[in-house]
Amino acid sequence: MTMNRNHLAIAFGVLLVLGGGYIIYAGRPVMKMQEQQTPVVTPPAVVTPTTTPSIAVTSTEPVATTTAAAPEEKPVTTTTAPTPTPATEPVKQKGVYSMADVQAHATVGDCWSAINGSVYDLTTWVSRHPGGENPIKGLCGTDGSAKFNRKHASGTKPQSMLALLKIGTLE
Amino acid sequence: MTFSLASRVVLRWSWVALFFWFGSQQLMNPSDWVGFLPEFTGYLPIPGEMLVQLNGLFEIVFAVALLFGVYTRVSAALLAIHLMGIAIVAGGAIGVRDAALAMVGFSIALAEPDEWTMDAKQSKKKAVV
Repeated sequence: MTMNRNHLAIAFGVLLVLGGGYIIYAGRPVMKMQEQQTPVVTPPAVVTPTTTPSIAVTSTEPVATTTAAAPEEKPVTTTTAPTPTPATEPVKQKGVYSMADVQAHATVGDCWSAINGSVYDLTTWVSRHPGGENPIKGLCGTDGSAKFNRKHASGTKPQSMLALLKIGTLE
Repeated sequence: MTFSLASRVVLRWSWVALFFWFGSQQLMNPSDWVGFLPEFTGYLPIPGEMLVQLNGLFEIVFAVALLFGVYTRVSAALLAIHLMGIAIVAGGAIGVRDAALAMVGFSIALAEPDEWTMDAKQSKKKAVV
């Protein structure tokens, strides 16, 4: 059996379909997010608010002496100042984020940015930005107002695209 | 090998080299090419890098088909239309250059496949039979 052009054409067709399938499978955003998954940051321990102010603690500790001839060891008194603890945590409004919240999402796989008083989740936009990934990477976890306005102040399309990614407002 | 045949083979293979180089670069380093995508692709539900890689695969497969002369006219026409589309979207100086290059493809598509193509070999076989 000799190879003719039809066999080659079929082989090229199969190559096109399989190659395209692989590119689509391997390039899915979810695959990228799995690769760039950052280690989970454990939230800080929650301090239960106390209503009564903590009382000053007085501790008496002997001071270690280097000279054996010291006649008497004087106890040193240290006083721990009472630390003010908030009586109640401020209740966060839904969809309102602080700059600290934005800064906690500073990776390519989890990218938030504050732009002109609103908060945007740019994670899915990183790889789709027509101008490349780098400009968006630079916005992750920051206030990107200046950068965005410098580049897209007059563009209506970038503004409307950005609106689709809004998740809340900056407090 | 006549000059006439040589000119057509050189033209075809040069065009193959063009698409092979750009296609392979797009497959290997898609992020370098995302910036060249037209703005409307940003509204598609497909990541830019994936679009670049699919474009690269398309260019490589049809460049290889053109290299061997498999459906030469169809392959050249598809690549020429593809390049003309890029030229229209790009516009400016790049658009003029790409449009001129696309015309090379149309000339390959319009001409009879040269003797070094599988198309020509197949049609010779048919003529003998």
